[in-house]
Formats: sequence, C-alpha cells, structure tokens
Amino acid sequence: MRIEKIKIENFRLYKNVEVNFPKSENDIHILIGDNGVGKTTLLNAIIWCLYGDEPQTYSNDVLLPRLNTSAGSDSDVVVELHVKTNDSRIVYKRTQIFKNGTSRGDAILETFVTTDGQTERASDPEWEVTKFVPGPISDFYFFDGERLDNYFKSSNIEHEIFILSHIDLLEDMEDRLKTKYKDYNTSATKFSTEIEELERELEKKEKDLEEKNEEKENFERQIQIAKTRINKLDEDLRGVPNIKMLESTRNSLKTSKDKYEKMISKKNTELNELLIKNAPQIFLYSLIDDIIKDIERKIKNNELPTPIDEKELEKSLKMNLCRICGRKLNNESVEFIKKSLEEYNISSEESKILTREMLPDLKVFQNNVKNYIMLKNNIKKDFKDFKMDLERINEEYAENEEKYKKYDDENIKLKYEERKELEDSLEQDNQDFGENKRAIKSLMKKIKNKKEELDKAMEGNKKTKIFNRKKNLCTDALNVISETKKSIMEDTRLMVEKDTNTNFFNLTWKKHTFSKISVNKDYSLELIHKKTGKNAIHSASAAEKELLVLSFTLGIHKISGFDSPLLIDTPLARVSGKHRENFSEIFLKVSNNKQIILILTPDEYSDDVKEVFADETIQKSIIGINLDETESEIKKV
Amino acid sequence: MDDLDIKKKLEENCKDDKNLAKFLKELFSYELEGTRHNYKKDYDKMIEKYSNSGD
Amino acid sequence: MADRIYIEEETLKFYDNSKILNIVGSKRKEQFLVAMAYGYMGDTSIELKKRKELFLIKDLEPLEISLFRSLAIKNEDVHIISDLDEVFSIAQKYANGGIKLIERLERKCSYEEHMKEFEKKIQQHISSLNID
Repeated sequence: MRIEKIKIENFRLYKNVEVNFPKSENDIHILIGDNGVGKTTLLNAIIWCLYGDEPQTYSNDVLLPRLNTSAGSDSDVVVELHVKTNDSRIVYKRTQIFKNGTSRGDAILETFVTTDGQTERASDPEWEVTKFVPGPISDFYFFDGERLDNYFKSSNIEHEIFILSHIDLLEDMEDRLKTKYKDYNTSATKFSTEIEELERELEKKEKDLEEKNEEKENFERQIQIAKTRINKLDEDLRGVPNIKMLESTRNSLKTSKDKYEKMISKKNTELNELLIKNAPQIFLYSLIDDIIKDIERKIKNNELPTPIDEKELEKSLKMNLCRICGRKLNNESVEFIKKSLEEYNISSEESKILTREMLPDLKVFQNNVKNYIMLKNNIKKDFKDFKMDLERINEEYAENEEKYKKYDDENIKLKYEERKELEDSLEQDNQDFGENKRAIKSLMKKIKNKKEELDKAMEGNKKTKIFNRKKNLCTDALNVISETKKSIMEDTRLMVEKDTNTNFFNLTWKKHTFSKISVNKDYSLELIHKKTGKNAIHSASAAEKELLVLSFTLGIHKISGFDSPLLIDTPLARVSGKHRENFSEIFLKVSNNKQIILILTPDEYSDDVKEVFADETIQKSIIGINLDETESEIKKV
Repeated sequence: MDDLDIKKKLEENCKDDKNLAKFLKELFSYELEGTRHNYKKDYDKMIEKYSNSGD
Repeated sequence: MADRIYIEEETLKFYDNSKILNIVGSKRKEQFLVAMAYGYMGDTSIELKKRKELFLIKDLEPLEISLFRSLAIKNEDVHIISDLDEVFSIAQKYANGGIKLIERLERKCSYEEHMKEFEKKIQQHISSLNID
C-alpha cells in the first residue's frame, strides 16, 4: 500500500494544498521546511484524517485553531488521503464543518473504495482505516523523529505488540468466561445465605483489587514520566563541560546507595523472618526447659515404666506366667510386678511419649533458640555494617551535590534542581508503589482463599454443586487461554527479534562491532558488542541507537502484516555529521521495498544529504509559509 | 500469528484434557464467527454441554 | 478424634490482617503457633465461644505436637499428653488469648513499629532467660 496524494483544505496553516507522491524506482519523497512552517501540521493532518487525532505537539506556544485563519468562518476543514493498494484505490476523507468559526459537531470520516473502475462508499469507514494502518500501531508508521531517540527512554510498546499478536479473540473469550464465572457465583447465592455472604465478600475484594490495579497503572505512568524527564536532564547535564566528572561520580554513588538500601531492606526481611519462625520456641523456652528437666529427673529416678505395656504386666499376673519368656512366675516376680504397677503412676504409653517423642523434640527447640541468638547477632552486625557504609556514601553524595551549587549557569542550576525534585518525588512514588504492590499481592492471596472457600461451600450444597462444575470448566479454560496468550506474545517477540537483527545488520555501516540485537520481554532493546558480549547500548552513538529503533520498527511492520508507508518528521535532527549521510543512504535502501516520506529541516537537508538524494527521480518539495504567516504551501522543487 | 495457529496452540495447551480442548475449540469457532450480542446464552449452552461431559 | 485446629471465629479477620502474623506470607499453622506461644507467655487462655476451623491437624509436624503437649502438661496431669483432643483444646485457648494480645500490641503503634515492638518483646523475654 502507498500514499498517492494528500489534499488539505483549511487545516491549520494549510488553506488549499495538494501533494502528489508519484512512484519511481526509489519510492522516497523528501519535503523540506523550516520550523514553524507546517512540517508537524502535515504529519498531524494525515493522522487526523485517518484517526481523528492530532498527537504530535506543535512548536508554537499558542495553539492555532484547526480552521485556517484566512478561511471563511463558515468553511469546512477537509483532509483527503489517497492510497493505492494492489488492486484498488482508497480515499480517506475527514470533514469538520464550521459555522461562525465554531465547529458543528465531530469530524466525519468517509471512505471511498474504487475497484475495477467502480467506486463505492464504505459502510464502515473506520474498518477501511484499520486495513491500511490500525490506530493502535500507527506510531510505528507515522511519527516524529524524536520517537527514534526516545524509544530507549520510554518504551511502553507491550500493548502495541499485544495488538499485533492478533489475540483479540482470546481476549474476548477471556472476558466472557470471566463474566460467566461471576454469573454462576451470583446464581448460587440464591440457594444459601452462606454462599451469598461469601460471594459478597469476594466481590468486595475483587473491587478493591480493581482499584489497586488502577492505582498501579497510575504509579507506573507517573514513574515512567518522571524517569523519562530525569533521563533527559541527565543527558543535558552530562553534556556540560566540568559537570561530566561530577555526573559520573554522582551516578556511581547513586548506584552504591541503591545497592546498600536494597541490602539493608533484605537484612530487615531476614530478621523479621527469623523472629517469626523462632517466636514460639522463644516464648515457650522456659516451659520447654522445665519439661526437659522434669523428664530427665523422672528417668533418673526410675519414675517412668519400661516400655512394656502395663496391660501385658497385668495379664502376666492374672495368668501367673511371664508374657515375655513364658515361664511361670515365682513369688518374687509376682511381688516385683505388683510393686511396679503400684509405683508407676505413668503408663508406658505416656512414658514412651515423654521419652521418645517429647524429650528429643523439645531439645531440638532448645537448640534452635540458641542458634537464633547467634543468627540474629550475625544479621544485626551485617545490618550495622551496611548502615555505616550507607551513611558514608550519603555523606559523599551530599558533598558531590554541593559542588553543583558552585556553577553560575542559571540554566544548569535550574535543571539540576528540577532533577533533584523529580528524584525525590520518584523515590516517594516508588515507596508508595511498593506498598501498592504488596497490597495487590495480599489481596490476590485473599481472593484466592475466598474463591476456595466459596467453591467448597458450593460443592457442599446439592443445589449449587452444578454451578461449581461449570465454574471449574471456566477456570480451566481461562488458565489455558492465559498460557496460550503468553506463548503467542513470546513467539511474536522472537519474530520481532529475528527481523530486527536482519534489518540492523543489513543496514548498518559498522559491520564488525556488534554481534546481535536482543529484544527483551519488556521490549527494551540490547545491542550486544562482539568483543565483550555485553549490552553496549549506552555507549552507542545517537545514530546507532536510531538505526536500532528503525530496524525494530521495520521488523514490527513485517510481523504486523501491514506493509504501509513510513512517514517520519525530522528523522535526522538528532544525528550529526557523517551519520546523516549514512542514515540517508539507509532510507534510500529501504525505499526499494517500501514508500518512505521524510520531512526535513533545511539543516537536516545538508549538502551530504542532498548528495544522497540527488537522483532526479526522487521527488523533493519545499514547505513554505506566506509573509503574514497565515498560510503554508508545498511546492515541488 | 494466524487464527488457526492460535487455535492449535489452545488445543496443545489443554494437554490430555480432550473435553477441555473440544470446549475451547467450540468457543474459538464461536468467537471467530463475529460479535454476538447474546453471547451469555450461547456460552451457557456450551459450558453446560462440556461441564457435564467432562466426567 | 479432632481433625482440625479451631480459632474464635471473630479473630479470623485479624489472622488475615495482622502485620506481625503476615510477615513473609506465613501459613495458618505458623500464625497459630505464634499466637499460642504469645498467649502462653502472656498467661492468657480464653475459651472459644464460636469456633472456626483454621487448618488441619494432619498438617502439624510431630515436633509441633510435642510443643502442644508441653503446654498441656503445665497446668494439668501428665496423663493429659495421651489425650490429644484435650491437648489441642488447651492450645486453642492459649492461641485465642495470644491473638487478642497481639491485636492490642498492633493497635498501640504504627505499622512501621509493629515488628520493632514484637522484636522488643522477644528480646525482653530472652534477656529474662539464662541461655548460654
């Protein structure tokens, strides 16, 4: 699929503009324009046409109205995107009506499909858009070059990959089975008040869990935003002369601080575990001690009968025959047995329990308590050592931070202060997030227990037993669906990894430095160095990182099944020197198999870049703005 | 991933539970046919069928 | 013979919510042992009015049953050790007392202080013993 034409009427700076994209040997199209003349507007126009949204931020502080300021106040905003597929042409047209300068309702999307000369208006225009580029993955097709740079700072594309894995059917099955599961619980409540009560408690806990999960998402979002901003500030500060050393020391101290804080927390947990596990024997120690002494005294004083059953002794007396050796009892023996039976007020069964069970068991407890003291002291010592080390690190950290204040540059100071504030609030957020995670874990455990209680109650009631069977089937099915989803996501990840590797090593100018790309489970990317075998992403240049993200993006295109155009606004701005040329050559290469539209600033369109795109067949256009800055136009060069 | 591959994976993950596999297969086919507004009744029937035959 | 250990029904909530008893995902049995021992140490044994099962007796180790027997011997005749129903009943009463004591301990201070308070109790107790 490729874009043939864009027509824009009254959309922001574009009063009346038509841009054609004829196909040639290299399907690459270059548009050049200064900042503020309408580059981002062009990108947003396309996205607005397809999805009704303008996600890219504009460089102006004041957002101009969507209706072009020199259009009449009763005009329409219209953007048309003409797309060609293998066997048809599709026109996506979005219109927003304005009366007296105010929008009359939402913008309407229409789609017209022409096949074999026949044009039909699509009954489901949104569906036609999803056949071109589905909304949730449009970020991989139409984006600002900053995304290539930002990928590493805020990678949250798991959701998008989820959509690409086409497991929406499984999601539907899951939702519906869960609903039925709940329905069966509700139905069962009619038959028993106990079940009704349990169901109510379960519902409450599930609601609590839902709230906690919403909180969790908020925390994740906030933390991600803070981290992204902190990373940006880190980079800004790192680039400043003389601050480099301070930054490096700061980072290393911060790492140590985090490490010690984790170790201290771990020790605390160890200590608490030790306390709880040993508490019973400690509290009962004196009792244990007394009983051991008592048993040992009884053994010493012969107060415990031999482990011969007293019933056997009584039988021996009755039969006048020894039950062990079979001999007839003489008078002495009879007297001895009678005396034993009188003296032992403890039965041989009880004697067995005392000597063979309780005595050795209680001695184990005694030993455990002595061990506890030793173990506790060891933990406390480690704790103390770690705390001292942490104190020392904190002092060094504070000293290092003091040195920042000596910098006169107001901008640096502001950035440094902003970073400190963000880090403090991030620490608080992390703590709160930790609490939230613990609460979720505890709630999940309680829900599991409650479900088991409910199942048991339902199983125990004849009328509700049938609902239990149905619930069990739903649970088994849900488990299989969950497992299947995970495995499909994993397969998708492996496919993306493979394609990313193919793309990167096909396109890179550095053929011998890296050995492979790893795509982790959270879709973070690693660039493995050939010599060290380690992740070299942090020492990679901006250009290498951008190439990595581009390779990944192209990999996503392949597995998505949507071979649609790639449109990037300012793709070279974050790359310098020779790498601009390298990147331009890469885009040229990719355009052999895919339509590429690049929107560049004059600065990006340097002489080296011009040289790469010199071929006359490559269409170039200039985006310009009129003198009173009310209208932009796009002219072929 | 193809819908057929997904269906195959579902069956594989049921391991020896043939009843469960049949149930999931039927559910999947049902969902494949498109959005049903009255899914509760249809799901009930399928669950009823397979929760009784699972013995 | 009894096959499960019971607690006072209204205390189940506290077994779920207590910070001290839920350190490192303690199992019901472990929670019970702590409550029982604490009840003994606090010399508080309370009859159960409305009982609720907590866990099965078959989950107890022989070592732990010896501990239960020790509690029983303290106030009764040595013959009690062979009457396990009675032994468990006594353990349950101590646990019932202990759980109420732990609940009061937790009410007195903030969450961060709970384990510190508990540790203090343990330390105080160890100091009062003559352990070499």
